[in-house]
Amino acid sequence: MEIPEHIRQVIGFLESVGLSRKAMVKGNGFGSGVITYENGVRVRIVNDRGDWFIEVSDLRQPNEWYDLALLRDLLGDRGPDVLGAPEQAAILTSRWDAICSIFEPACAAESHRRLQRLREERAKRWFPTWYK
Amino acid sequence: MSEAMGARRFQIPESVWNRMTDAERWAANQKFLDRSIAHGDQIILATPAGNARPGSWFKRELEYHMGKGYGPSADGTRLIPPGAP
Repeated sequence: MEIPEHIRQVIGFLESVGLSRKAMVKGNGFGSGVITYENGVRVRIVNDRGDWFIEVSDLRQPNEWYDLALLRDLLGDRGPDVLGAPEQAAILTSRWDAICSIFEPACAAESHRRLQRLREERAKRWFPTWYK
Repeated sequence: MSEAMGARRFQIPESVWNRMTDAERWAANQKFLDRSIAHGDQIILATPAGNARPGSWFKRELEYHMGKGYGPSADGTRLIPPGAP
């Protein structure tokens, strides 16, 4: 899995804020793979058939991964659903403290509810004949 | 997962995929999808449709199936072809 420079910069950022690499898994074919970092929150960097995605989860709900567009929307900054890797990296690094605060124990449950709602609303926009 | 279930899946070696343009990638992908649609196959989803990554190939595949009349099963784990019970 060849890692482009902007993803290397994200990795450098994650390490600079105290996250450490927990796993690096190579997928089947397409050069796909996942690198996971954690320390309080988990961040995974996914190469999905050549496209790069950055996702964040709460250690207490480690199977719920949220993309940066959802997290940005939760934080009140609106924008497009589809973000290139540099745009995802920019949100992650510029809003890091706010993203971490989303999953603080006092507000994590409400954050998960709101993120689920945002995800459902988005699914209705994407697949209007499936989700009404 | 697909091997364990005996299901077909779209797969291209990294070295080949990396040399293809996006248009070529989608053409190859679409050919695979069209074959499966022609068979009337159900599509098993490893990830719920609503959890697709924005801008991903997976989301594009879901949109393609939606355009072909597929719909999600009640439990959201499969896409069902049009007219299937």
